[in-house]
Amino acid sequence: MAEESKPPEPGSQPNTSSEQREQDQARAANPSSLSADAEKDAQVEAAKARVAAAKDQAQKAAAPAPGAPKAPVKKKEEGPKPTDASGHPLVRRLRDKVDGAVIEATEFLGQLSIRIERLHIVKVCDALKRDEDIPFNYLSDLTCVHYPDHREAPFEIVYNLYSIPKNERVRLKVDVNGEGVDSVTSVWPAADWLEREVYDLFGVVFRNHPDLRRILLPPDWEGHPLRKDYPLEFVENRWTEAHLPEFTDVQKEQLEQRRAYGLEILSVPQEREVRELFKGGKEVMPKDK
Amino acid sequence: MSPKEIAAHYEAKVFDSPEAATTAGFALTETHTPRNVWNKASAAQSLLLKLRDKKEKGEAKEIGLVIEPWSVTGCYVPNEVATNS
Repeated sequence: MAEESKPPEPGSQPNTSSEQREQDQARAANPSSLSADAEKDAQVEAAKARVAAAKDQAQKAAAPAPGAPKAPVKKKEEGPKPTDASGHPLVRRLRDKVDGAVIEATEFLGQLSIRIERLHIVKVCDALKRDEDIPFNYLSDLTCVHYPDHREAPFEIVYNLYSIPKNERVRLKVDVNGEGVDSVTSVWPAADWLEREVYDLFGVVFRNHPDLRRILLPPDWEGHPLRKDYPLEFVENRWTEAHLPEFTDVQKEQLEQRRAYGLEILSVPQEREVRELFKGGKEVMPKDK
Repeated sequence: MSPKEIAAHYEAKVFDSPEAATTAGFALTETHTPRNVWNKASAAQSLLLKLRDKKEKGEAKEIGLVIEPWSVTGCYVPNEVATNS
């Protein structure tokens, strides 16, 4: 900073001005250097013009012609797909032990799934539980999927098995129609409540089950809520008519207010008729009248 | 899937009001008033599965769905041959 603030010494010239002066003198002495600069300028201008022309052309090419169909949207790269696992050692052992039981076997992301013939499910489960190499001694889960478009067998029962000593997993799938499927409670007693849950929510019958009845819903409930033909919304049925309390005028008004504020999520006018609450001779409190 | 996609899957016609369906010759069935989009799709599928069964039994010639902002209604064209017999 101190150097910058110093005034230039008398008689001294800055370096830049001296260089410029030298260049001017050289140009005056040699006129060809002048033409070289002009050439450079011309080249720069030409290059700029070329870039501008290329940009215009790119924009025209990118803009679709009026009425032209849209370019197809590129699909995302597809992910991994299940592969055939019929050569898997466990599948081969299972084929040897229970003839005709395995329909197909697939492996997806290291997870083995075996589709089993419905009539052989108990034998297959027993064989897997008693397997010498990998004993699947734990029924991790038993669940169901409803495919309403599969007319012959709309339900798929899924058995997730786990081998505690070998830390291995396998998934069994069985296609089931209205006749149901044999219970595997004889192999894993833990299947008892899981099968009751599937029966309750999907209506699949498990033959030879020791105590097949609803587990989550009331015994006189109608329908099976996890089926695709069962609407998710609240629907009045005989059970709710018989068991749910009825509404007073005050409660009805409160309900309307809650609806107006978006707080009421259970009821809409068409779904739930408002009824008198105290049927058994009880009266509404005076302040509510 | 959205109610429209479900209707397309079951080859059902889509209407935006019950009047449009009735003027097109469709008879209305039950109405569901779901409170969110998932329940709306579920209601649409439930209605269409019932209508599909009706069509397979020969009671309906054509099936449809009335999709309104806060409700879904099933509709179908009765099969005159089945109803007359």
